[in-house]
Amino acid sequence: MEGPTFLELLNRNEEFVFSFENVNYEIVMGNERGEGHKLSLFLSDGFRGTYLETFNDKFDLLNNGMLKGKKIKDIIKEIKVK
Amino acid sequence: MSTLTYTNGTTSNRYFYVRDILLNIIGLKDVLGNLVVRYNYDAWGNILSVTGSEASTVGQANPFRYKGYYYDTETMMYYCHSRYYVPGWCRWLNADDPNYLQYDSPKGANLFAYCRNNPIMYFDVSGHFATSMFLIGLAFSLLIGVLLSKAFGNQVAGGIGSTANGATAMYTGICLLGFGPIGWIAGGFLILVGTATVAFGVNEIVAGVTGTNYIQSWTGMSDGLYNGIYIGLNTASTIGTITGSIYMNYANVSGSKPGTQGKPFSRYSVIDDRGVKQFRFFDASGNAWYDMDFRHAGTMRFPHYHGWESGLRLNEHWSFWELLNWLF
Repeated sequence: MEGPTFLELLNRNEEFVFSFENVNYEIVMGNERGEGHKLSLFLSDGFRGTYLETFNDKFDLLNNGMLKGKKIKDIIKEIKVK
Repeated sequence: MSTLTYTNGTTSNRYFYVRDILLNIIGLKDVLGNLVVRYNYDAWGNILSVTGSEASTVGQANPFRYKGYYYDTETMMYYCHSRYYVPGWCRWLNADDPNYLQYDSPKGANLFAYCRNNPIMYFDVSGHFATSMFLIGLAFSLLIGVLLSKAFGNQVAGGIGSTANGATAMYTGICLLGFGPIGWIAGGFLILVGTATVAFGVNEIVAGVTGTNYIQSWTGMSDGLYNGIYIGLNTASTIGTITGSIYMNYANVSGSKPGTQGKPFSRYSVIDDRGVKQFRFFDASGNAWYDMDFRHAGTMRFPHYHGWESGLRLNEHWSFWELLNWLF
């Protein structure tokens, strides 16, 4: 079954795991502790993951978030939702 | 207990089968009790996933899967002694013996049909005869009842049956608590009814052994009222257990990609290679209602909850009390 895309999940504020170039990442609402209305990017490498960065909103994530030196908005089609 | 010995190179390890109530092999445990393989099937026996730390080794080598049938990984069919069952087609590979034709029933007239097209309630190890899980359970219960009556007398046997009935209702009630607000109300009620049924059952056992009915002597209840409550509780426990099981069978959906739409008042279990990650509950209209998260990245507490409004997941990580406040 075809699942939702990265943008669909982001648009409905889901917390989810995705992969880019064989590395798994996770998006979580709020800061590192889940507080507030921002959203945070983690490496999905264990039970709690490894905290990378917090963004003001999904537009900030898309425009300024970097994975392996590339902007997320530029590699969005290569991102695979797990 | 059924075990499997798997040899990998020079190392042999023993594994224990984990079955569910429908006889499916749903996992393998190692000798330390760790669940190392988990199987997921749909109702027809299609294997949805094989996960766990040893999924690629013993998980693939183990031939016993859905309903305990022998699985052929190359052909993706189940060997059932007289013929092969093809889960992808939801029917047998070849026809049954024409002697099994039942002209008066549409399902009996189809010699390719698997388990009367009802794979939940029936199983068929021989390829010739669909056996009802319900009738097997009923026959087994009756046999136990007769044996207990012979051994201890009717009153004690009835008390043991009532205690078991109440305990089953309590267990069903506890399971229902995991199904959201409908489950909390139904489960809470069933736990109360089951507890009372157990109390009356134990009282019957004690009365059968000692000759004193303590509930009647403490409360001064008449025989008619006592018997009415005793029968009523047992009936309520039985109906509650059956209804609760039917509801859980309907409401329990699992997979790896939850959507924003589901069956009304159902629960979607999100499963990854480490087990259940999240429950998503759907409201009366089948829209995402709220999520219960068991684990994801971050240092927040688990489990926590997220509500849904107009197709959008709310950002806040709620405690159970915050969820209740939002729901009611």
